[in-house]
Amino acid sequence: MTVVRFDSALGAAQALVTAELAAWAHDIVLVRDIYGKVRVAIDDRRRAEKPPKDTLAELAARLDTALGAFSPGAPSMFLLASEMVAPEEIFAAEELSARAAPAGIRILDRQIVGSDWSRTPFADGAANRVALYGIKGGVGRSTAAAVLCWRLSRAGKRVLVLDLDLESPGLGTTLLPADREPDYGIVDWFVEDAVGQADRALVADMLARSPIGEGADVVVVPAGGRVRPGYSYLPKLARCYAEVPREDRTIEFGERLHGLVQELERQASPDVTILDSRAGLHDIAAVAVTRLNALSLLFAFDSPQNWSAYELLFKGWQADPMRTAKFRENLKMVAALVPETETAAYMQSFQENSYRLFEEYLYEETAPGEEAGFNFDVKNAEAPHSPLRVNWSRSIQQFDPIRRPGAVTDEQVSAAFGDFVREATRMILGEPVK
Amino acid sequence: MGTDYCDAAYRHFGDASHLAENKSVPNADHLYGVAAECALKAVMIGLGAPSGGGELQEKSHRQHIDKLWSEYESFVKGRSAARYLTPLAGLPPGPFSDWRIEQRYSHRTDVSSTKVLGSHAKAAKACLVTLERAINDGRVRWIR
Repeated sequence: MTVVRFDSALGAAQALVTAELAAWAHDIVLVRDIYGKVRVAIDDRRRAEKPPKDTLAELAARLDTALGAFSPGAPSMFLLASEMVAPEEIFAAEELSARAAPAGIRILDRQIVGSDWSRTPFADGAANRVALYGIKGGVGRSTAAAVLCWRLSRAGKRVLVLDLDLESPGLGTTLLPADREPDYGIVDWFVEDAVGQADRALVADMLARSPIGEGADVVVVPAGGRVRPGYSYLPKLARCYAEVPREDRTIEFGERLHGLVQELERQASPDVTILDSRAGLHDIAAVAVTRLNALSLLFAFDSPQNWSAYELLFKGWQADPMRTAKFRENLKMVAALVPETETAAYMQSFQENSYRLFEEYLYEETAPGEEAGFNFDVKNAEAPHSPLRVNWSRSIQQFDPIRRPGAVTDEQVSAAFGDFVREATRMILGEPVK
Repeated sequence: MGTDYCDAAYRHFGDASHLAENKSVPNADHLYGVAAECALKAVMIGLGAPSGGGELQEKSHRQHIDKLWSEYESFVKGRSAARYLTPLAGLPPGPFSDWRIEQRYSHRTDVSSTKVLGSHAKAAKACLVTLERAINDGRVRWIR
């Protein structure tokens, strides 16, 4: 007997259920649990008749075989809404997929982490947000964030910047001298919010003005507070991703992070909010890149490792086109640390690889005579796949604007980040900043 | 006869609801407490509490709902812990602290006002919702 692997289990169940319970398709949800086991939930509340017992028993046995190790066992195969205490947890779940054509069966994928990758963006005001993200680390993302803060400030734009790299914080240190670090940071907000005391006073104690601000203020929110006796970080980080109860519903991580960003924006009144997102396929990135209506700058090297990692992400987005359509126009690639030699060839290769990725997973096909959908020519500089550019430079390795303010000159910063700052600010504000 | 906290939770909860509808307050109240106990015990086993033959093994876990409630709250931990605490969180603290298993020996006029019944019914439902989450997530197996 062949082993049933995770990838084929759900499809096998879907095929059998579609064939055997066609008349019920619109009332069926396939629930894939946290171990990948698949159950069939049937909403029988609005119908006079129940699904025939014999049919269910026979189908349970066949599903049990088809699902292999991903079967919950034939006696546990079906969940009937009429027998449940809280059927809305399944039939009205937020992360329920759209109906799969043509049968109409829906899927509920119960995941331990990462559910924010399958949620729609929050309804939001017109905040100018930009998220800096790299699917792999070491792409110079936080340095780019610091430079962006500096240049926006110099142009008179008030900046709020959040270090969301909670597992590997650093932007707070880059932008603040020790004597200006605030008492609290983002991890503090999460634990205090869970018990209902993330009030204005706490938020005020999370904000600090960076000396990097030359014109308007650069308001920094570090991952954690000033290191001092009695102050801990790890026990708070270990609780950040918890859902919390509020009245009779559960507030999940993404909604909490959104609430934090909104509260910070209310207090700091920035012209631009910069989110330094954690790298990788992480919950924080899911929120920052896909749910906060931010311009999402995707940093990458032109390397097979980077492209194949992005491919995993884009493939997930492709699977839910209705949702992806709500944030795809905010995506923009960034060619990170572009080498000094053979630059033109490098950029061309980047452009082509990036186009290939977008073309395969995100761009829509447009039939002749049809109105153009989300689709761009490979050479179109405005296209999401066409990268902004950060040049590699030896001098930028010394960039430490607070502790060694003279180590890197303005010209050196412009040489590395000029294109990036100009184009990113044009996209955020509609006018470029030098 | 094996122990099946999960099925028993549904059974007691269903019967408690019938009794409550028919104004049989003392027995409804008794069964809400037992249903809540069974539901939380089923979830605890699903989340890894030591068990054998379907029964919990540790003495601190083998309690009725008036004592079990706080045991449960401190037992639940780990990456997805919050999912199994949030349904209970909107309730007043220790919602069964005024419930006793001995109520079953009491005179009908001694126990359970309608008001108390209402709060116990709400808390028991929250326990069943928690259990149902654990079933949907694949942590608890419910064999019908």
